[in-house]
Amino acid sequence: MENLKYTLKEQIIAELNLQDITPEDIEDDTPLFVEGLGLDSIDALELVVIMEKYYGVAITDESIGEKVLYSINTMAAYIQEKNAEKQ
Amino acid sequence: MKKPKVSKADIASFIPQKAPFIMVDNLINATPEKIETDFLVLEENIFLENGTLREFALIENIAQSSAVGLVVLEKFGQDRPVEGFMGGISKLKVFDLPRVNDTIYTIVTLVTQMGNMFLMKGENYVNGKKMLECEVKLIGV
Repeated sequence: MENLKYTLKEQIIAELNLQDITPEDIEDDTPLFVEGLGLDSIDALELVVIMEKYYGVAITDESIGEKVLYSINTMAAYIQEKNAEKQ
Repeated sequence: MKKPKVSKADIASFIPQKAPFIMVDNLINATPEKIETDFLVLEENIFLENGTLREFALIENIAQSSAVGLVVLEKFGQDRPVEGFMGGISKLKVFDLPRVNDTIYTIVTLVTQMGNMFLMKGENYVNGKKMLECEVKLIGV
């Protein structure tokens, strides 16, 4: 789980081309949007791409996206939940 | 030549832009895999500079191509013309720029969608040569 969270942070930094931010700067439980990492709602599309491209998890519904993309913890938990459903 | 899905005469009913800001002529085809459009660069195009079309006109072409295609594919905007805005441009690469009387052939693919937000990847070609590629975020309102 910790590896997954760290990889997610690396992928977010790369996909959003975040400058001067390292995975260590991103807390697991702080909001990624607005007050946390400072992403805006449109940046959510890149997070959706990460979920699809690397983990095969599609998020098309905005209300689900709002909950799942809230933090690193919620993203990692959703990936694990979806992977468990596949097995 | 195959009949376009949406012809130049009808394209204005799909998008909010009005002449001279319309940067798409025909929607050639729209499938879940790709959206194809064409656009002839006329001498009176307002985005010409010394006979060359500026890059932002190509980005606008990708955005308008996306909008028309998404409506035809019923991804959003059943009330026409669709209203929305471009929320961001990324992964932009400019290889060359079209000139007067060139016909731009554009291919757009839907990378991902969440609600009324769309991430589109677009490429412009003239005579098989790539002019520009980028990703645009479109937000329907």
